[in-house]
Amino acid sequence: MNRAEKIKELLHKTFHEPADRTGSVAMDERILSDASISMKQAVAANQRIYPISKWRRIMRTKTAKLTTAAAVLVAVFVLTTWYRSTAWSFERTIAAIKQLNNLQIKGRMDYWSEPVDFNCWIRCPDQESELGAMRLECERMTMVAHLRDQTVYFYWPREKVVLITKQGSEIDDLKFWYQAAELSPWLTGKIVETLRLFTDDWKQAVVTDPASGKEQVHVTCSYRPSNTSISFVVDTETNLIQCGKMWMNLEQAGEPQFVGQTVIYDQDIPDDFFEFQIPTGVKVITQEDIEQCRALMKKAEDLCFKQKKYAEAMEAYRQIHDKCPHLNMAIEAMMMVGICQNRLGEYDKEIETYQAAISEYSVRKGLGWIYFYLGRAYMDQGQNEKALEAFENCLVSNEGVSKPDKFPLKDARENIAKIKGR
Amino acid sequence: MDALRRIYEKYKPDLLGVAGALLNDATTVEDVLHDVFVRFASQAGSFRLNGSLKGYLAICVANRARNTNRSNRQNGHKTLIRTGTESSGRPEPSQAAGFTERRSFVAGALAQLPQEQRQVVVLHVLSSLRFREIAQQTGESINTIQSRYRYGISKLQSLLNGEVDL
Repeated sequence: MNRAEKIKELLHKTFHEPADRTGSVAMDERILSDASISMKQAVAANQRIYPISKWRRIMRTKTAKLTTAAAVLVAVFVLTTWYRSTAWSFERTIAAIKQLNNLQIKGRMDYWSEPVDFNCWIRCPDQESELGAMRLECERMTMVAHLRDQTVYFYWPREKVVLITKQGSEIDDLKFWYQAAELSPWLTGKIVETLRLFTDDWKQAVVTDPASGKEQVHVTCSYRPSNTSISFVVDTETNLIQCGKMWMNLEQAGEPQFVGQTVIYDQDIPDDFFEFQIPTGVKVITQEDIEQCRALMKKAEDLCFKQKKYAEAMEAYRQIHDKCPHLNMAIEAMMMVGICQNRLGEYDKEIETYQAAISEYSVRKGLGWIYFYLGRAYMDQGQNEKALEAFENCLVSNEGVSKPDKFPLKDARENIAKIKGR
Repeated sequence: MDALRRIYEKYKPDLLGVAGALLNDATTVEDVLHDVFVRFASQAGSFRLNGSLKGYLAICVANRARNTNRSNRQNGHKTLIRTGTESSGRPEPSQAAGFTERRSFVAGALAQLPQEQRQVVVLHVLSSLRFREIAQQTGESINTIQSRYRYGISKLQSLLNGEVDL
């Protein structure tokens, strides 16, 4: 046995004596008793924490910008009553909410960076059934969502396209509605506790409305993980929200992304108002179509990146765009068509493709990738003025969408510097 | 709760050995084990294990022991290194007789190792953790862990040389 082995043996002999390794019965009891209490508290806390983690996951999705803004306001209503006065018990709050049948919110919101007026109606789910539904209308789009069969209909009147999706879709935007509905206060009341725990910087002040002379509560709060802040006004007589705003920043800086100018409660709304009728003469995109587009995308990527068969890849990308032009996938497909044309030496066509894509999807954020490739195509042709403009558009379009130190923003900045340095 | 008791009973002997070898103050062994298990239980439901449970608990004990030693030093507690010669750090040969003396002697030598080396030696020898697992749990590279072990053993050899039968 070498000396190192002897040292090990010595340590074993010294610290593995039976007396050292058993401890006392009193020690066992103390440790197990305290650990048991700790575990019970942890389990209880986890039951409370679960919806928070779920909510946080939901709030990270981009969807809060659109279909959920109204739902958030409704949820905040619940929170308001919870916070407003100690006289309000949890049970009373929930009881009051259960009496609410529906509400309508009128206001203004961002639709792909474009401010539009909207009207949103929400039918509150019954505790024993899933009648919950939502209808949101604005100039550019109508959306109807049902808890009943977990189906969401999108209708774009200008483009005459209807998109029907089901739960199980991988489109995060649509999942939001379902998951938010699961946390609905009308179903479980859990959202009260959830909101109370997850919001930050809660501030409230009682003020008198100079116009009506009525007392109001002004509330502001924020939610850091989704970089969102909310403000709303509550009527102290009815405890109902009168109006509210939501910003996609924590400081309530700049124009709010969502403004609920008026909220109307418990109108007489017929049930069929929430049924969506597919208009005649529109193109209907179903879940099956989306799956087909995904398969096409996979095939096109294989042709382009692995097999280097650019002409065939280009055809597959075009099919995606033609099949579902309103999916984000179609924008990517158009960009890839341009890249394939570049590989085939069709440089003029490449520029035309990028320009067509930008024109078609001009209202959307996140076209920075296309602007970047357009700029690069111009650069290759020596058209530096146009290239500069494209790179600058890239920076604007993808601000807040891409990380500043990653492609395409980093590369666009580098190219701008190159052009200006010439 | 039953699961917690089984885990406790299964790993307690090893963890007591690790705590005993790493703590300068023998009276805090029980507190360290208590804190580790209460903390472990408080993670019920959210606990995510990378590697073995035994390794995880042993590392927890080692970290807690290090904090306890540090805290005791900062609070001016008398360091109860179990040797008879705190001033020189080297135990008297005459004490190296019988278990109690041997324990004091070996613990004193261990206490003179740098904390990182002491931890690796104890975890590898007494808790039978592989170097790879110690590296994984501590976030260090396996080479660093192996070096610490070699230096630790080498220093122990020189500290114990002639004092006990090696």
